[in-house]
Amino acid sequence: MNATKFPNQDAYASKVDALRMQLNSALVGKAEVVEQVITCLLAKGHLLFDDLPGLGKTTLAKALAASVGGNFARVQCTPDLLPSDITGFNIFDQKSQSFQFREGPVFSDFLLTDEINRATPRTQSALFEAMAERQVTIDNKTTPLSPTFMVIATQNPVESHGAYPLPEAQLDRFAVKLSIGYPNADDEVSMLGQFVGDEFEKNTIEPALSLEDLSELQAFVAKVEVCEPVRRYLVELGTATREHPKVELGLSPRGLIIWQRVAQSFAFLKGRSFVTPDDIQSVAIPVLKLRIGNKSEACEPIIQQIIESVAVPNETN
Amino acid sequence: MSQPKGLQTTRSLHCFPQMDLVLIGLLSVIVLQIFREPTCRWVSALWLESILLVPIPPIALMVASKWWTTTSTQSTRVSALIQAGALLFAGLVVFVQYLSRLSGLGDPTEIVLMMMLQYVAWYLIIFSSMIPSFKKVGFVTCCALVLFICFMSQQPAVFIVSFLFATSALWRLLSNYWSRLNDKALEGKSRMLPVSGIAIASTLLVIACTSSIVWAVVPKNSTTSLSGFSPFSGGDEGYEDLFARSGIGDGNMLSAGENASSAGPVESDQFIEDTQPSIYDVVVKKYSAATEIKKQKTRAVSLNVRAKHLDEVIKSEQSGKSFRTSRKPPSDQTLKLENRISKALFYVEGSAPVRFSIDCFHHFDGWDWSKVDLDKKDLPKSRIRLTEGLREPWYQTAFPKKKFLTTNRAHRIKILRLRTNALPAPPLIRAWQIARVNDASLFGYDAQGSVIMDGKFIPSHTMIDTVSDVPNYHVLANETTLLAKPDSPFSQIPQNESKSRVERLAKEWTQGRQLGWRQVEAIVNRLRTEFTHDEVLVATDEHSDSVESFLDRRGGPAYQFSSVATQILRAAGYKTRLKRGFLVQAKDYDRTSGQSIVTFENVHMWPEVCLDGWHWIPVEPTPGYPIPYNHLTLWQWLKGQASLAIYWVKDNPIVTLLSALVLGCLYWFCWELLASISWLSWVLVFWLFPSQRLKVTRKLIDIRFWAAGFPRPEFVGISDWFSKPDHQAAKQFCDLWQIENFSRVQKSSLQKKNVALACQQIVSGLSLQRIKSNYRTELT
Repeated sequence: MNATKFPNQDAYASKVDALRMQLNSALVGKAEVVEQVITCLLAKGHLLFDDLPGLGKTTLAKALAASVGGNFARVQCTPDLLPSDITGFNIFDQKSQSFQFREGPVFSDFLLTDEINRATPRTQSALFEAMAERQVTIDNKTTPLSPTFMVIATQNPVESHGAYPLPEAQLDRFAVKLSIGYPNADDEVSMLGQFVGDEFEKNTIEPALSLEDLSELQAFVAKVEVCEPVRRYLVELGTATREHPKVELGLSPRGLIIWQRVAQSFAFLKGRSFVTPDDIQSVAIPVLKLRIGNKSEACEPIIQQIIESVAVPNETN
Repeated sequence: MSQPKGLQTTRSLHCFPQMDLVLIGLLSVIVLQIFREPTCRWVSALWLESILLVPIPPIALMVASKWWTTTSTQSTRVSALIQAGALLFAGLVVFVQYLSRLSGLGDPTEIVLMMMLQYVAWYLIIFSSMIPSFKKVGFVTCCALVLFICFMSQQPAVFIVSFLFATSALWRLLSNYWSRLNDKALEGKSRMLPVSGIAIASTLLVIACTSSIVWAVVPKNSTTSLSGFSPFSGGDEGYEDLFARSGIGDGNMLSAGENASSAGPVESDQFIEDTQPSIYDVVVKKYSAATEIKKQKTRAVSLNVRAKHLDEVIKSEQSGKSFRTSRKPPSDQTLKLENRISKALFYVEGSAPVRFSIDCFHHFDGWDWSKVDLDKKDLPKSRIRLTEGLREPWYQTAFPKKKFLTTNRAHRIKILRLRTNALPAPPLIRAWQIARVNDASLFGYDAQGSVIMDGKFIPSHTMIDTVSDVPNYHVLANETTLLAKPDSPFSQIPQNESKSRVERLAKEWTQGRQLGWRQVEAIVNRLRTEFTHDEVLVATDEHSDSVESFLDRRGGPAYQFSSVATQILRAAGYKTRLKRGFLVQAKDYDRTSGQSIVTFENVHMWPEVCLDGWHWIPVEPTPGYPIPYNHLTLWQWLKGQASLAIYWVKDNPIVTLLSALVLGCLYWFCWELLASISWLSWVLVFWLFPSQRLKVTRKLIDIRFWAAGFPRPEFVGISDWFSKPDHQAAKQFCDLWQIENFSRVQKSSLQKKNVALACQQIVSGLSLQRIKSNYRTELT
């Protein structure tokens, strides 16, 4: 008997495994990234990929959407993209002599916004409400989005010309920021093998998880226990980000909530029904990378310093 | 200039310590300074010293912080340097004290230690901005010092500043921990601060032990020497004496004559009834009366003749001409403080121990020491001169200043009841003065070479200042030695049965020793170590003479030690004489009046040897009595201690070997030992308190990692760290430990059997050896 497991967790474990397998086959040799993507998905968070072109960001996003079996929409961001291109707009129908709402790509289960930093701030901010509240308000009419709505944004860190860096407010709405990075040589050889002939054209991904399953899993994750010492530890880490001399903007309370949720999801994936300080530390880099901005220095060493500055709780009584 | 404003603020906060902590540090410095004031002769120097020392750490911080910002990557090295700086600063404090002592000021050792602690705490507070862990250490040290001073002090100023300190400290504690307390209150926790029962029990135990020790050690009667806070100072009672720790007083107490002890003898009824005792009276009081000796070869002697003979001895003793080494056992009489004051012969101000000689004996016939009128050649070659400078006139001896007299010291004597015309002179007296007395012919030598004053006795309440030389035995040992001529009165040995025995002992004890002081030391040390001091073990006429009695019984009263030592020193060829006078020790110090009281209890006899033809060096052959005051340089002291240690090792080879073995084992196997002790305590707690199993097991494994040299950092959770050497052994335990501590829901489902199994599994799986080997493999 494994006492650390959820009561009904085994039922979902196989589905999560299938999802994991499909994503791993889509993105070869990046099991860790796949794990973080699933963590983010179950935490009901939005995902930001910050990486060079051609590393499989879009592939992974598409594979994710396909694996879950939801609607997938994609927006290629350019400077002339308008907010209504994302949210949708009212159009006058000559036949019915009335305005009809035409839904934008935001009305999907998975929205891939490619190169989000190429869109103008106005367009970027159109995503605010959708990301934070999972609803869209157009002409004073509020329309709810899909309960499993998830934004998977990508941005290219190299090109700065004609790019609009995401404002802190919007960055805070993402749960994690991931970098895929180059695969190693063996994985690249294996990947090249997949693309010989026309086999890959036929390679269609079957949904491993229904949207209902995803909703249930997300609800499950939200219930993962976070006891008081672990919460306090999390708060101390948050305070440490605010007091660190090299961090210009410390972690917001919303950031803490997201960090906790991602840690819950991580613990769930590890087969536990409660969060440990190790879980908090494990997800610290993808969560904090997004939030503790420092233009001049790399974030990882600072995050490591922050983690090292706070003692983990031992016995609680 | 181009730096953003926000960053500047951050940097400045980073570089300077918290102001409340600095305030607390400064206040505690002030508390200590106020505490030191009464014992300090020059208060301005005290404050000057703190003005010089206090700014050093802030200046060092300013220099270090510049360096810190440029080489922040080498933080470990910087931290080590900062800690080395603390040691240097402590050394500086000691050096300042050393200079202070050289200039005649200075503090007692315990105050110097407190100062070191105080200034190191101040240093830690200043550098706490760089090393945050210094904050708590500095704060706690300051609090402990101020608390200690509050216990020790009665000065109102100390209490006022301490109150300010306590307020600041409380304010700091509240400001730092308020949020924590507040949170606890909101969560409805009954216990505001995590205080464990063991901590309370330990604290109570420590308080109880300390109280018992204090109760047992603190003197309860006036005859006990002062102990407790100031173990290096003399004294009787009270806590407010101003000069106890200063060594030499300035004589104000004696001059003023206002205190009770000064006026005591005059007003006391006992004093009025009692006549002024002579040296004979006090000797009889201390050593009892002389006894009758059956002269050998005398057959039947009538009682009348024997009584007549004793009468003659007593008369001779009364006139001060002789001293019999066969006396009745003394009755045990210890004076109480009030009696000591009323029975005081004279008062002394100045450092103890010190001997004041009154007269000396040269000739010994086996039972009696007697005075001999010396020839001119044997009398001191120096005349007494009166020098009148700008201030008081001084009487001076014109002995040549030899190399071995490396320093001098001063005393002030106030004659009260002692009826003598001999100057109570410390050994090697160089100069003395009586206020406003400038009669050159007032002092001179008597026929035995002692300094006497013209007239029958020195008037009561005469105050005499003396300056005497202090020998350095190491230098003395290297001086050329003049041996006594056979016809000298200082080398006389009675022609009796003991003579050959004394000569044999002298030869045996000095064999292999360097001629001169080293031989003298050897003789004295043999007497001090091999013979027993017993005032009741008096010589009787069962023996042919008192020397034989002493040597046969391997001990006797103090005067017998001195008598025999004189004989043996003479037999070894050294000019020796027997001195009689008073020995003043630290225990005679009366803290209330700030002076040492000399009564008949202080009567003492000791030999003096002359090695250079001029100076008489006192020696102390009686065990238990302090060796005469002498001077040592620091280097000589260190060498002495080192050679003592070497001798000890030579004398105790087995103990040394065993100690070395134990220390070696401790050094090489200390971690294994620690781990084993932890394991034993784990076994105990494991079976006695099943609820604590997970906790103690976690602690045991943590200790093992620490002992293996891989301590778990505070920021790393146990599952990460414990899994590294052996994942399998640790997994089950880590899972259960996490449930116990981080899951309220599943905690109840834990089974004791599983917990015990997992604990035993990890304890056997992660042994110290396995952690060491596996962890290394893991790291490499």
